[in-house]
Amino acid sequence: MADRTIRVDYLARVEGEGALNVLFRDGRLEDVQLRIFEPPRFFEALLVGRSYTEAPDITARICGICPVAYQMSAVHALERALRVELPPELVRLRRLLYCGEWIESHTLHIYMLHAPDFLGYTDGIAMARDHPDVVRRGLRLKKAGNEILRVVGGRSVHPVNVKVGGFFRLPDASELESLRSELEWAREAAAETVKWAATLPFPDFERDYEYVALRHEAEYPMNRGRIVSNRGLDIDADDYEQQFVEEQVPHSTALHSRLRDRGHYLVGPLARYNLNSDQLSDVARAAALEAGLGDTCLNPFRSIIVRAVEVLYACDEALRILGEPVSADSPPALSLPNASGKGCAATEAPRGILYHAYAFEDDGRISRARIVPPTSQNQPTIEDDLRSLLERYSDLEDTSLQLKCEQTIRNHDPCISCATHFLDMTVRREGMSPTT
Amino acid sequence: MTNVDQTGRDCDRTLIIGIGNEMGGDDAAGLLVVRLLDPSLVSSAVRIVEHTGEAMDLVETWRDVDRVFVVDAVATGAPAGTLSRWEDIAPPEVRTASSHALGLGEAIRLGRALGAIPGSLVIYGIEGTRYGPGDPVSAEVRDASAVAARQLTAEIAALPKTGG
Repeated sequence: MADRTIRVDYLARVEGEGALNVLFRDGRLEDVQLRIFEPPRFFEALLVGRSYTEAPDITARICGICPVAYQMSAVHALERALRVELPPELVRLRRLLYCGEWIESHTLHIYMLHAPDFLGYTDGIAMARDHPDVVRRGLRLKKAGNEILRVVGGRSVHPVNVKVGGFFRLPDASELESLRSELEWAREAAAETVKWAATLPFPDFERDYEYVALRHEAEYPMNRGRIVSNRGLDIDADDYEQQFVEEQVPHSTALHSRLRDRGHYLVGPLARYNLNSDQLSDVARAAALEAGLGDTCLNPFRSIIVRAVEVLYACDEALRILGEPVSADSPPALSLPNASGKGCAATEAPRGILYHAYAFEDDGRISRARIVPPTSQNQPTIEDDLRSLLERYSDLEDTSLQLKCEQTIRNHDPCISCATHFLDMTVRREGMSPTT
Repeated sequence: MTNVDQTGRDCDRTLIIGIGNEMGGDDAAGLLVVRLLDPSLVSSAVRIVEHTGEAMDLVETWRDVDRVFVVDAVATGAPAGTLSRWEDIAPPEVRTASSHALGLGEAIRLGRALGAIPGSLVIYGIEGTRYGPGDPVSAEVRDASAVAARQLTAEIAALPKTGG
């Protein structure tokens, strides 16, 4: 009998702290366990006893990459609890803010985390030495997203301008107009990004997931819509906790999410695209078709193209929103009733559906908080991907196998700051001679 | 309260960047320091920015700046609250303790790969001890932040006065 162990002590481009354990026995894949730690659970406890008005800013601190998603799910859940509905102008501004986050988050993943895998670089910095113009384009594109966060969200990192009922302050017309010229450049750069991503080498690896995303009759989903799937799911967020269950598994601190009586599923760009590609703008849809995407994309490695299409869409959508009239005397926020309540909402974080639910008392203090981030929803499906890949490539020597596993995990962009830094990977081969 | 700016626009001569996360215990060190700086430091030539430490954005933030001071929590194995100062250091000699996989070290390496690095880069590092969500800042880091703010204020004040 021979055991074989590989340890990866430092893996910067997996956005998550955790570990991957793989066991081969007699040449057959026996077990795959992915662990990603899950700080949102700490935040659920932290929120209890705090005023509901603090929830958007506290939960935004869960993630430095997608704070807007946490703010959006929090305010929508709380506004549903209070039964207030925002006027169209505020709805548009929130969508504009979300566009900014999609641009900056997806661009980070495309250029610095995912593309190096396809081009054979150890990281985005090594890639930058050989492709400086490409990486510079990524930096500037990401900054265009950050600028939206600065103008609408109050600052480019951990934005502070969102509140339950609206915003603390509305940007004026000149501030919004200042975004236009750079977004026009960004739209062109995003179109170039789609073309560039489509030239990367992709393995033939299609997967049959249940895709879950929001769907809204009038728009590509960000802040609102029903939760739907390609296998018939069609529910309001109010029914989320009846349809989705979370389970503890022995090997992970994170809860594994599954659809009741159905199993694992996938959220994120592939799911959004596959369920909503007909809602893309003309520019984004044409770029997707030119890049070889059909109405659906079943290859998770090609998610880099889908992310690029979503960046293009977000730039295009932001420019469309900037073209809408802005009233100079609109109140920045609705006044809120003093009442107890409970409510929930799901919005489309860059990595997929982010569900928040709250209950609060008459004095506004939160008595229950529940947060289900996209990474924990995708974790079982990522394990399924790894299982399929490891069975297919079990003859590869360990270093190559490890790189394939890393890339497979990165296909789904597990979250950097909702978890943290590192992946330790251990491959054990029992009952056989080491591979070469 | 210091007039903290979030944009990091081009053409500043000197930029002071406080990196951190207020909800991450001692990870807030960089933010604490820049908020304690003497407001009179800010001028047309000296700006102060609060930042998460995300690498791509850091490179854009210090683009076209002559001189950058970065303040961040660090983990070097020294006792909690130890204040360190490094000048033009080459990562990964220093590994930052912020909650990001692509942080200050990667930003410096990326900036160098792209030829987008300030002429002068000074890092103030404060050794942290706890980084859990919602953790309070430790007394050691709080004390060290005040010391760092005084030291940095003196260093900025002693710079040649140009354009500001």
